[in-house]
Amino acid sequence: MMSRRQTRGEYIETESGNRISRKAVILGSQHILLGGRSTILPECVVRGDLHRPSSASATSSAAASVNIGRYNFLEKGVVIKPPFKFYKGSLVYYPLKIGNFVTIGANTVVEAATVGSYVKIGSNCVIGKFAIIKDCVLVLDGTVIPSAACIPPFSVVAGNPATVVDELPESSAEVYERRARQIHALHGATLTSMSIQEVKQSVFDDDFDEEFDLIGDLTVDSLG
Amino acid sequence: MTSTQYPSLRIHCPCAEPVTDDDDQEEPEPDSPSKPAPPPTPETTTKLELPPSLDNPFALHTLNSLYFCDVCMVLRCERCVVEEVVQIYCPACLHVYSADTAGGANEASKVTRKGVRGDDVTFCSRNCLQCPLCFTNLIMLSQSTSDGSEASGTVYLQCPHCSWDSRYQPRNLTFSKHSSLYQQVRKLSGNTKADEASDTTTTTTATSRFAALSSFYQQLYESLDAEEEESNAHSAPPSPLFSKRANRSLETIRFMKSHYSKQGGAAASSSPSLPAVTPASVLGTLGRAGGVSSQKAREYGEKEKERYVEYIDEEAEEEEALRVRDVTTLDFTPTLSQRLANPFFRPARTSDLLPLPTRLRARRAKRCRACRHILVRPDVSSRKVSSSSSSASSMATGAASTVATAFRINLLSKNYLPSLRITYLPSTSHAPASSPYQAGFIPHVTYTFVLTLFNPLYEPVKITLASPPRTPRHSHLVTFLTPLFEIGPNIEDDWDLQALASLRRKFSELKRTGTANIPLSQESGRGGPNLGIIDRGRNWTSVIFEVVPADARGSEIVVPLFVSVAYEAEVEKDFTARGDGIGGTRDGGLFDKEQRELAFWSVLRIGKVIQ
Repeated sequence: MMSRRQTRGEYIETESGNRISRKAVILGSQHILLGGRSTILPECVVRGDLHRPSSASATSSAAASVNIGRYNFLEKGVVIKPPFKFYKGSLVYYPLKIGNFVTIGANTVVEAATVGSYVKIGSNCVIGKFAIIKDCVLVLDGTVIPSAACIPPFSVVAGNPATVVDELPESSAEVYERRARQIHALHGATLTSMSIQEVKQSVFDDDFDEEFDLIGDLTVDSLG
Repeated sequence: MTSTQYPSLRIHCPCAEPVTDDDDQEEPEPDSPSKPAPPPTPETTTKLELPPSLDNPFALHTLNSLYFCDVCMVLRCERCVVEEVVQIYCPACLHVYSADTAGGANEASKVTRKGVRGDDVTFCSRNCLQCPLCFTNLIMLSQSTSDGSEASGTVYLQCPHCSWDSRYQPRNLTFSKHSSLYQQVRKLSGNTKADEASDTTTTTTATSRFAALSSFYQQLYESLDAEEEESNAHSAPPSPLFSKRANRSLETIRFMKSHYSKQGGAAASSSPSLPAVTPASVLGTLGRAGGVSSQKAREYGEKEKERYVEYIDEEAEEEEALRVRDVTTLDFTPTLSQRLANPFFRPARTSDLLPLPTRLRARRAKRCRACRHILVRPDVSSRKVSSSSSSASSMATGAASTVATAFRINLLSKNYLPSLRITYLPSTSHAPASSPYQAGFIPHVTYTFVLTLFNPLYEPVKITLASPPRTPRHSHLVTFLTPLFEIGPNIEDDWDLQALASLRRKFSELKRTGTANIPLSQESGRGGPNLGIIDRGRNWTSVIFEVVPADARGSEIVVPLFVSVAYEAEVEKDFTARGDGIGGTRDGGLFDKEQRELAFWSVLRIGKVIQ
């Protein structure tokens, strides 16, 4: 599925322009679909080997256990793992789909069923099993999205458990698309393992990831 | 993530300005789009005055959060748009409750708030319930029967995050049907209120009174709704701004007056046996409000006192006192947010909490407040938010849709106004090479920055930058070396990728060599129109500005910057004005040239002077 040809040292570049770090752990690559121009940094783990047993022989796109779209960017240490549940007494994995223009921050664990397009997930987040994140969503750093949760479009979520704390403006789809393209282009120029913010600030100092007017004080009353 | 990061750039929306009578120069005209803007040349030496609201945080926005009215040719912020509900949906199951499918661009859209069963849709009436402890969406599980089959149909709820279970004691909630759990819980909460009223005597008066009052206001609200609908049916639909709903408080007062004048006399004669609260009895406690004589009010007060004494149960009070005495921890009390989620039923213990219904969410259209032109209109005709339904766990194959981002109209400032970006250039001679944002700025040292402007328009633009030579509060010295320059048109979609690669190369080179080679002064030979221009591309230009911090230790360097954009726009010719419309199009073209000018204030926060 991923015809590999070596380009420059640390990264493998596929025909469709995906860049995968040699230090990333990619398991079951025949079950992973990458849409193109997506980047996977070192120390990431993508568990393509966790797939539905019936689809072991099939190689069509429906059989893919991890489907990652275009212009996605996985920072260091991201774990992508298809969700499972017990069905008729046996453990069954379900496919995981990530849309286009999605960036995932460092050390985040994603076990969602679906992540839409134009989504920015912060670092150190946990996206629970079978969670659904719709389009145009901002997940702030350190958020825990419970399993089977559904995050509606144009939301900003934070906290443990995640609650909707703000709303994204109507420009967010355009902004996130441009941002993902920028990151891809800049990362291509350096091919290092810098975080998104470092990549963007290598050109403009004020280009940190504060794209919108958000409510600053995110006091979420937690259980504790 | 808000105020601590430097540098930051915010755009000022003039809607926060106090309204003045005199025609202010920088106040954009709300109408007359055809009127040509004043020529943007520096000859119009109108004295620029700093808007007074320039340092109000609520008047400053990021470019991405601003709208743009292309009739008024003015930017609009969240505060100066009018919102209209276009669609109501449940955030948990994404079921659409009502949608404005007509969607005329100019007619005032009206979304009915009536649900299927005739009452207001505020909550999702399906199976979407939230955990009362952590507000996570609950999942529905079927209770396994003794023989292990799942056919019993009895279901219970569980929180996937905190493991709250509806079968917890003392509630022990299970549901006989697996559909419309909302109704079942609602019924249950109704019963709970009644239960509370019958057994815990201490709360009787308060609870029953609250119930009576709430039903009274419910009644009031309904009757007003009916009245409004009636009047709407007869007359033309009023503009949403001036609807009766907006004047509700006035209406309420009027209604109450008429209500009390009808029933005021009945207060004294009402039966004292029940703690029922009629509107009349409320009036009684209020005394003279509705023209009831003081004598009647006094009588009423006496009766109230008697009634209250009647309900004091000493035994129960003693019990309560004992219970309170044994309390050693308050862990069982709900937190403030848990309490606020139950405004009608105030639980004393977390174990009393019931699953919460899910509040619906709305997608809104936005209009310009001045000309009522639509700025944003979500496209709802082509889509449901999602088609899948029922319990969230079964939605593993959620419909992947790009439709969530679909808009029919979306006028954003980022497509009209130039975006501005800042880069610090360490100079080898003067300023330290390390980033001054964290370390702080040293007074009387010249710091050089690059301001890069990207033009989103399809026309070449002339930019005029203006800034007070000294910042208003601490008088830091700021110099823009190139106040007047041009930027090319944005004709290719991939623009910022090329620009970024080019700029990155340029900046890293400059950071290595220092600013010595940049033509900063006239004698370097490369002065003239290119003075202070570092680099330029198809639709972007990078210019230099210098900051010399004043000796105000610990103060913030805040630079107000006025940006004016002048360009020649092509506008469609108005053929209705001319007699021979079609004949002239052949050689004259369909478009006329028109001078336009956009201008805005921005605030650049660069950093802090060292302590």
